[in-house]
Amino acid sequence: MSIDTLNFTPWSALFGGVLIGAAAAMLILLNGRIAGISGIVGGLLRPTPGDNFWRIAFIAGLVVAPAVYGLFYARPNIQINADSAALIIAGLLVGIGTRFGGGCTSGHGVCGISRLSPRSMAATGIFMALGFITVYGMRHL
Amino acid sequence: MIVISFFSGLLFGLGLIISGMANPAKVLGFLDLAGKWDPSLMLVMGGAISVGFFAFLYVGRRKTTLRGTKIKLPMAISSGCDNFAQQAFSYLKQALRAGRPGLLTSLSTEFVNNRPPIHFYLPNTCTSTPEYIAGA
Repeated sequence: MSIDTLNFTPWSALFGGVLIGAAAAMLILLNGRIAGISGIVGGLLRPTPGDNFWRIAFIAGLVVAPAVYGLFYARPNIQINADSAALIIAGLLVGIGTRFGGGCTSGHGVCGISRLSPRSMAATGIFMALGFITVYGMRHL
Repeated sequence: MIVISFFSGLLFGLGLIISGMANPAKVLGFLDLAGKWDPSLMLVMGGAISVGFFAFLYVGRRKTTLRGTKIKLPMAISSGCDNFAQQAFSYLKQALRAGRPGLLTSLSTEFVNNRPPIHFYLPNTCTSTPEYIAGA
C-alpha cells in the first residue's frame, strides 16, 4: 500500500470535515434532528405530516451548495467513471443498503460516532470494511 | 426550522465540496487500500467528529434544543430487516457447510474463477478511464 501523496489533501479535508461537523451540530442543537442524509431523504419517502418541509429545505441547501461554492471559487474537478446504468444501479444499492443499515456515513459515521453509539461504530466499521473489500475486488483481482 | 435546515444543508454541502468528498474518485482513493491510498476521507470524518462530538455531548439525552423545540434522537431502532438478514446468512452458511453450491456460492466461485474483465460490466469506462482509476 502506498500513500497517494499527489491527491492527498489533508488541510482541505480537515476543514471540510469541520464544516460538515458544524452543519450536523447546527441541525441537532437548533432543530433537534440527526444530519444523516440517507435518513433525511428516506423520511421523505414515507411522509409524515409536518415532518417534510425541513427535509426539503436541507436537501435544497445541499443542492444549492455547489452553486454557492462556484460564486467564490472554480468548481472542483469531479471524476465519475460509470455510465448512467451503473450509476442508477449504484444509487439503488446505496438506497437499499442505507435503509437496511439504518444510516450512512453522515448518520452513522459522523452523528452516531459523535454520540459514541456502539451501533453506529459497528455499522461504520462494517460498511467501510465492505467498501475496502469491494474496491479491492474491482480493482485488483 | 426551515431556514436553519436550509443553512445546515448548505454548510454540509460546502463541507463536502471543500473536503473533496463530492468527487467520487477521492472516495474511491480512500477505499483503495492496495493501490495508491488517499487518507483524506479519514481526515474528513475526523474533522466532522471532532466538532460533532461536542455538540452531541451537550445534547446528551436532552429533550429540547437550544431554541426549545423537540429533539428527535434515534435510540436503537431495529430497521426491521434483521430477520431477512439472518435468514440470508443462515442459507449461505448451510450451502457452504454442505458443500452443495447454492445460487450465491456458485455465482461467487464462478465470479472469482472466470471473471470477465471489469470493462465488460461498465461498457463506457474502457474508453474514458483516466490513469488514476485504471490503477496507476
